[in-house]
Amino acid sequence: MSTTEQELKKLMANLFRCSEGELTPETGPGDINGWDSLGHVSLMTEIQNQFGKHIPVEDAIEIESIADIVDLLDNIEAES
Amino acid sequence: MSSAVNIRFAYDSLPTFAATLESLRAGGSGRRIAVDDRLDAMDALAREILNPASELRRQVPSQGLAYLATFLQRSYLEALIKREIDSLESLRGYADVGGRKSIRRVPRGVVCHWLAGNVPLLAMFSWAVSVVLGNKNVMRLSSRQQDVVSPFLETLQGLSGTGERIAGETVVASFPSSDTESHSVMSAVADARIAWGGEEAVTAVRSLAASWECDDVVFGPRVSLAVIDPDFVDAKAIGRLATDAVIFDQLACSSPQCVFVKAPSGSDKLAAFRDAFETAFRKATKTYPRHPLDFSESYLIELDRARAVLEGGRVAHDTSTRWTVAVMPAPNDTIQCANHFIQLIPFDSLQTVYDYIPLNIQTAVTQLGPKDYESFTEEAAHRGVCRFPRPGEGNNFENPWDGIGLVSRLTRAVIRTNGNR
Repeated sequence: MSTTEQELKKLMANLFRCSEGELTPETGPGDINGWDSLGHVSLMTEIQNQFGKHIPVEDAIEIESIADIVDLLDNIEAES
Repeated sequence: MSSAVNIRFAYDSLPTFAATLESLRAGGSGRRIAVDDRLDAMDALAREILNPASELRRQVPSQGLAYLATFLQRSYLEALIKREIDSLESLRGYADVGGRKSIRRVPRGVVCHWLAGNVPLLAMFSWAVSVVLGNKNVMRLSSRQQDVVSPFLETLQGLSGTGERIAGETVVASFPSSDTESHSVMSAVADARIAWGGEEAVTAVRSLAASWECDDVVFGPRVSLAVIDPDFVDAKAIGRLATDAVIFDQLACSSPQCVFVKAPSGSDKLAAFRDAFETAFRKATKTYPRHPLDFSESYLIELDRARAVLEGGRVAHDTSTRWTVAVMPAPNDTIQCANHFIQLIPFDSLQTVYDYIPLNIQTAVTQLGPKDYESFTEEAAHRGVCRFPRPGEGNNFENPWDGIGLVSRLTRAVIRTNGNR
């Protein structure tokens, strides 16, 4: 598991009040309580706050799983 | 206007309404609220929408709320403004534009919004842009509509001093369409009018007398479509396309009604896309429950299914009237395509799509190969299409919208020659 994935799962477990063990790379919106459309926006906001990386809306709406987020984060430059 | 003003205007009499609007217009002699403070206030409102414990989430419809929370974020609003005027500097002060000239953008004044009956939440987007640009606002709802505006204002008012002042610069009014005197009073005070809705509604607003300086922004009865090459979409994109088509029950002007599919009629490619789309459409109609249909709406769906078959279409639908996908040899204008009813039309040449594009086209959700994408977005733009979002973005309000750049319309651009030497 990459560092990005570890940190993301920690963030998500905290945001959605679930255990990290419930989260797999395939987990997507709707699979856990709270990860609905509003939860998705909250997640993008928290990612920006904690990773310092902004995921554009156009990419955010295409996210289907934790693996998608990890791929995006690994390919986005951190904001200065 | 003081910050303690009542933000909710319950319409009771014309003189009260007129006095409220005069007070709004005359107010604002205190310290102006800077654009950065306005952006911060909108950002705080976005965070409140995202707060699961917020009362606001129980007071307003959930459809479109997640996108509104994104839209109100400072970074998003900044990007949206910069798309039109490059930077926010001219909203903060005079900004050098070269040749010893500077431009300062100031608020236009009072912006009056007539909300659409079908998707009232849309007006919150134009309201937010107008607020950030420093305008005062009047939001008119039909007396039959749920008041979606006041809960946002009441929330904003409680978030900060700036939020309270901004909320105090918005008046919410509710009166019937037939109350022409109230419409006239509202129109008379407007420095800009924003009309959302169908032809009858926007024509009625435009026919009201207004100051000769008043600018009109009309978001009228437009229609939308999608153009897809199955070779360039996966199951996820098809799912997002289905979502575009069901959200707001296809009543929004940006909801695709016909989906043009680049595949020969009767081909395996078309059949595969049709099957994938039907699966996604069935799923999306469950995820986004529709408003309860009345008898006439159900009847129209049954009628349209029959029309589609008689016109040579192949119709797939559920046992009720929850969803319908009609594969048609050509687009059929007599089919209303609302309430989860989609026409799929195969095409070999983009000319088929061009021939269909109606005069009131707005959005073409587009996913094509690179060559087709370039030629389609160029030619279709000249035929009236205003937006080419990808699947999933169809209903996301953005700037420009309907070909109109809101920043230019809701500000006055003041020019000066630099150096008072």
